Amino acid sequence: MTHDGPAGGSNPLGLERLCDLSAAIGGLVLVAMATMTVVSVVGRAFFSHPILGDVELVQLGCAVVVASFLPYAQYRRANLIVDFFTTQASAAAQHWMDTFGTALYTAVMALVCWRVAAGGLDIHANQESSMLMNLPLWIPYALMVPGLALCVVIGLHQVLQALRGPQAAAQGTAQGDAA
Amino acid sequence: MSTMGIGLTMFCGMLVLMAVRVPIAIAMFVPGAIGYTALAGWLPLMAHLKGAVYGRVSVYDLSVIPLFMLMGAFAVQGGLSKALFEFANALLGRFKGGMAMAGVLACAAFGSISGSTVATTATIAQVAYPEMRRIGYSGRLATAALATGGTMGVLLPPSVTLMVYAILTEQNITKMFLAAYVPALLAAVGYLIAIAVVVRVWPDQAPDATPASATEVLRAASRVWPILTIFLVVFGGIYGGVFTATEGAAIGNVLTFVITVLRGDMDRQRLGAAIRTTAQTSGMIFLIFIGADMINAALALSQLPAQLADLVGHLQLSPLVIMAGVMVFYVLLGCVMDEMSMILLTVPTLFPVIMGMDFFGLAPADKALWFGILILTVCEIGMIFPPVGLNVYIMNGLARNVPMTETYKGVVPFLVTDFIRLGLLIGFPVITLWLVKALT
Repeated sequence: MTHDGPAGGSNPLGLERLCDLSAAIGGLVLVAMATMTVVSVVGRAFFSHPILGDVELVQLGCAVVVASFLPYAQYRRANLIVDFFTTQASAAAQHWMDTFGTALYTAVMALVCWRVAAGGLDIHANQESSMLMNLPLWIPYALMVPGLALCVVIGLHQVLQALRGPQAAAQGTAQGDAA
Repeated sequence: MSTMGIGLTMFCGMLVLMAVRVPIAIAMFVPGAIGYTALAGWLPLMAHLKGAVYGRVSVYDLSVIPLFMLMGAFAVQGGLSKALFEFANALLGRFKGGMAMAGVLACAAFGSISGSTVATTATIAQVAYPEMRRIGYSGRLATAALATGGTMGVLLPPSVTLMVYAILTEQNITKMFLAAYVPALLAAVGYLIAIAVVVRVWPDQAPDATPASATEVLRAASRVWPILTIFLVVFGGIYGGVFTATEGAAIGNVLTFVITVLRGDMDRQRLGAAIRTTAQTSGMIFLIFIGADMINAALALSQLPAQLADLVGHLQLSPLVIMAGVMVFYVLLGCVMDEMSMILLTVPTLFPVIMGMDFFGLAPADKALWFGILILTVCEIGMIFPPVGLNVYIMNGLARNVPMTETYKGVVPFLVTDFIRLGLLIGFPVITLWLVKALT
C-alpha cells in the first residue's frame, strides 16, 4: 500500500540531503524532549524538583518534530495510498494518477504552510505566550514553517519530474539511486 | 444543497480521490477544505487553518507516538528480536508446531515494546521465517503464523493505533493500555490453539518436534533480559503510576539506546536508520492526522455526525446489533483502507454515536475503552483479511517463493479464532475492563 522505496527523480537541488537534515533535526528535537523528560522524572523522584514546564516544552517540541518529519515521509513516498482499485490499470495510467496526487499534496502543503506562517505572525503581533514558562508561542509556529515549506519544494520537484513522463521519471529514479 | 448533502458529497469526494491513488491524507483534506468553504466560507477556513494544524500536533500525549516509534526502531536496529525468538523456541520446540507458536509468542513479546505493528512483524519474521523453512515448515503455515502473530502488535501497548484512538477520544492512555492485555492474551491463546489444530489435521505442514535441553532453555532465557528490563521499567512505571506514558516512553528510549550501545549493537549508521524509520512512519501518520482533522472539522459543521447519531437512535435496533453492524463496516472498510486512516477518519463520527447508546449499562469511560478494544480487534483482523492484508504483504515481501494465495489460505484458521474472540469481547465487556478495574 505504500510506495516504499527510492525517491523518484534526479536530485539536482540536494533535496535528499535537505530531507535527511530535516529528519535529523526532528530526531534531535525528539531525543532532546526524551532527555529533558527523563531529567525531569529523575529530578521529581529523587530531588522533588521536576523541570518546570516540561509538559509545555514537550507540546511545543511535538509540533516541531511533526513538521520536520513530514518532508522525509513525502521524499520516501511513504504517504499511504489506496491501490486496491487501480491494480489493473496500466503503468502509465498509474503514473498520471500518482502525479495528480502529488500535485494535490503540493497544493495542500502550500496552503498549510501559508496559514501556519500567517498564524505565527498573528500570534507574534498579539504577543501570546505559554502559560507556565511564558515562552512566546510564535516560536514553535516559526519552527514549523521550514519543514512545511520543504514539503512544498519536494512535492513541486516530484511533480516536475513526473511531468516528463513515465519513462523519464523511471530513468530519473535510476539516476537518483546511483547518486 | 442542504448541509447534510454537503457532508455526504464530501465523503463521496474523499472516496473518489482515494480510488485514484491520491494519498489518503490529501484525499481527506481536499474535500474537507472545499466543504468547509461551502458551509462556512473561505475566510473562516483561512482563519481555522491558522491555528488548527498547530493545535492538532502540539499535544502532550501525541509525543508518545514518535517516542515509542523510536524506541521500537532502536530495538529493531539493536537486534533484540533474535533472542526472543530463540528463547520462545527453546521453550516450545518440544511440541509439534512449536516453532510456529514460538514465532507468535515472539511477536507478542516484541509487540509489547514496539509501537509499530509493521516493525514487529518484519523483525520477528526476518529471524523466524528462514529458520522455520529450514527445519521443514510449509510456506503456508510459516507465513500465515508470522503474519497473524504480528497483528498482536495492533493491540499490545504501546501500539500506535491504540494510542491514536486514545488521543482522538481523549481517553486516559494508561487505562487504554491496561484494557488491551487480556484481549491480547486471548488472541495469543487462540493462535496457539489454531496452530496445534492445524499441525494435527495436516501433519505435513510442520516437522516433528525437537525438544531443547534444560541448559539450552536457560541459556536462551539469559539472553532475553534486555527486552524484559525495558518492558518492566517502562510499563511497570506507567502502570505503577510512577510516571505518565510520555515519560515512560522517554525513559524507554534512553534505556533501549543504552542497552543496545552496551551490547555493541548500535553505531552511527544504525542510529541514523532508526531515526529515518521513525521520521518516515511518524511523518506518514501525522499527515493523516492533519488530513483527517480537516475533513472532520468540516463534517462537524455539516452536522452529519449528529444527524447520524440521531438516525441510529431512531432505528429501534438493539445496541448490540448496531455494534455488530459497525464491526462489519470496519472489516469492509479495512479491505480498502489502512487501519490508521480508518480510525482517524471514522472515530470522530462513530464514537459519539456509540457513546450515545446503552450497552450493558456500562459507564461512559468503560464504554470508551471497550469500544476502542473492539475497533482494534477489527483492525487486527484487517491486517490479514483478504484482499489487502498489510501483514500478508509484508510476509510476501520476505518470502518471495510463497504465493500470497497460500498465505491467505493459511490465515483462515487464525481468522476463525479472531472472529470467535471478537464475539466474546462484544458479548463480555468484562474481559476488556477487568484488568483496568483491578489495577486502577
